[in-house]
Amino acid sequence: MKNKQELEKQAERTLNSLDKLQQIEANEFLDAKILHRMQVSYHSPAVSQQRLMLRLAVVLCLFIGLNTTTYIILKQPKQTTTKNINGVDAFADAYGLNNNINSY
Amino acid sequence: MVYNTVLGFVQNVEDAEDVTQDVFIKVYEGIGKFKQQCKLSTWIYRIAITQSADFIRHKNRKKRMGFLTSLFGNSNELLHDPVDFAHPGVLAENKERSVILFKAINQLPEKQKTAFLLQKVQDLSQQKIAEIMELKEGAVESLLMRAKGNLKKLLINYYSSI
Repeated sequence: MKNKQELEKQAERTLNSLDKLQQIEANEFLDAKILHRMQVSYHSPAVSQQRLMLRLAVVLCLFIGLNTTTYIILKQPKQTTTKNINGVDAFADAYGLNNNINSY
Repeated sequence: MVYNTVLGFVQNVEDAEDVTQDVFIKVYEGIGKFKQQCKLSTWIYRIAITQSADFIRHKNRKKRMGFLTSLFGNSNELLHDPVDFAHPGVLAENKERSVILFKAINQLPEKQKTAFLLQKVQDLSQQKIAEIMELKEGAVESLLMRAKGNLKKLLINYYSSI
């Protein structure tokens, strides 16, 4: 059973294990990879710009499509049938004054 | 500077190279927008820390997704346990202890981890750390004290359990 002091000593030594840490040199090819990516980024349009244009194009197509569909639907002739109701008949119907023996 | 900072955060040599590339690309693409409100080195450090944090979050998300898909039998991928990280710049006699320390560092809250790593890995002053993290010096001092306190607790628990 380790005593508290020993444990604290161990913990302190571990905490100080990064003392005198040496700076590390990266892989020698890393510079070349970074330069290559920079050149690609410089010569081709930014990916974010391309994505933005694509999104705008999709929104525009949807907008035009919806408007066209709505226009076509509204342009179609209405096929509703209207019934011309005689005012007198309507009054009679309302107060059960018509001659239909089955009406009650 | 960038590579060593990133290496301390992501704790993997290959990942550190990838993230370092991303940092330099961000610097290259964003240099026109740099308004010199701070030193260039401070700005670069901030980008390095942000990119490292994003990388770690992305990696953790992938691990969680991998775990979920394995539960439902959709993936035959083996779940990888994080490999013990032995920082290549650590003195030979401290290698084993540093592995344990880095595991403990990963359990710290993000700001405490950032402050601690900037101090220990990059040997930065509290003033410089405060500039990078956009905090007051007193706040950085407090973060460092809490980080060391938490690390000590974690290490004591570890050593008492072995």
